[in-house]
Amino acid sequence: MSIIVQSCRNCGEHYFPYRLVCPACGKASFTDVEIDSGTVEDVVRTAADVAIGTVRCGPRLCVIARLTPTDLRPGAVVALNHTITDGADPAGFVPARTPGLQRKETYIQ
Amino acid sequence: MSGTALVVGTGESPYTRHAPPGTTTGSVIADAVLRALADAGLSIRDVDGFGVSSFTLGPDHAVDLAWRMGLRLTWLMQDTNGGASAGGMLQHAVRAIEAADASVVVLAAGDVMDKAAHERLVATYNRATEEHLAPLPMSGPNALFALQTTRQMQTLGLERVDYGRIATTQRTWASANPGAVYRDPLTLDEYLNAPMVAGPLGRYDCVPPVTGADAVVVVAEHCAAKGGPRARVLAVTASYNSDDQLGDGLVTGLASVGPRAWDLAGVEPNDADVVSVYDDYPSMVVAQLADLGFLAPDEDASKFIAERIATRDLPVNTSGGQLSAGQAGSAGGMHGLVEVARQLHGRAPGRQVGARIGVVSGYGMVLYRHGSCANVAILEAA
Repeated sequence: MSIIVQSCRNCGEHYFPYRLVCPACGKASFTDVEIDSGTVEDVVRTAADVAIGTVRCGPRLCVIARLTPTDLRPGAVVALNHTITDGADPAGFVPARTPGLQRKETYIQ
Repeated sequence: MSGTALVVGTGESPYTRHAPPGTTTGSVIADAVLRALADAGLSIRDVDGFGVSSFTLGPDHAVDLAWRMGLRLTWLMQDTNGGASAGGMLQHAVRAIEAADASVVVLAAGDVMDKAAHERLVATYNRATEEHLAPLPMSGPNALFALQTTRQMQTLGLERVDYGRIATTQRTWASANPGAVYRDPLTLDEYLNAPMVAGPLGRYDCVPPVTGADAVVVVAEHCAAKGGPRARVLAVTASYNSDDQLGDGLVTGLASVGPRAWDLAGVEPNDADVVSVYDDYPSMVVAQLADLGFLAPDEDASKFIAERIATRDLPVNTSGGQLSAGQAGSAGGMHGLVEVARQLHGRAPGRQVGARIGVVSGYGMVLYRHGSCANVAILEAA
């Protein structure tokens, strides 16, 4: 399991949500890459007992994820998925791009 | 900035938690516009410039509203930046007046924000929200600002009681503002024991959505009546997407554009007599006051809140702010400008402070993790 994020073909920087132009190098050619896991930076629990956290995947990439189990603490490493998992293993759900907008590759130039 | 533009009128369509049937976005904005013009001693026929911001105006646009209000214009703009809309429109309006594209400009913002409209807004705020946040599920930005507040607590050594002092002090200001929807005193105990929304944020850390609208009249010097309410716009600076959402959300764009505003205005934070900072959450009050230089980087933030804000030594959000007065959608940013202008006009009965220099900051538009737009306006009683 993994999540799909955007990678700049020119400089290799990763982004989520997707960009139109790479803010690091200014190019507009991207490809998709898979990210398996990340580290919880901070986490809060909502009134509905949903745990929402910031999960860091790289120096310039972090995602907002729904964390399970809900008692995860900062520093925990979680597997990242585009689907909700009910298992006991630390996991983060990151909703994917809507299908109508998904493309394998993007060429704007 | 040459300071040739003056705010000469303010108006607020009364905020309501449950608007009467038949209330429309157009009707509350028109009400605020007419109130602001009456405050300025002007009529709809005097207006040649109009700017509006609203989440719920569609399918109409600024020009539809202008037509329905009987405006004939040489300058028109529509802004989409929510809590940062007032400062953004003011920045443009000042330039339009300097360039003589218009000489009597009305800036307005407002929304019908009932439960259904609010749910629709927060679920479809932008594409990132629609695709990546709403399905978590996350209904609105509370959880994002809970994360941001958590980080701020760690960084500045703040506790819930510190944020409580901001919320309860604003409620005390609100008790003297008949326009605030919540005016009953709020104790620290009530704040601390309120139901949690997303820890560490409780009920009183979150703004109550209301229906309403705010407006200001901005005119060229030659159109500003002597002896009437006058506040000169000394400076407006704005920042968009200052950190690419890569930062921790503890520093806003004001950190980079604030110093220029103070330079242009020729004053410094110590000169400010009244301040409105965009208070979608108490943590953002702290962040903006720090970015604007009111709270020094090495200063004890908890002490600053207790000794400057809670004592009202530094009058912050004297209307009660959005936390007590209510957040009327896009009018949230305009609300602070209206209050500072009223203070500078000497038209804030019950809560009037002796004010020569007023400061207003706007903040808003969460892209994915935190807000992306920020601006500051510095005004002087004239």
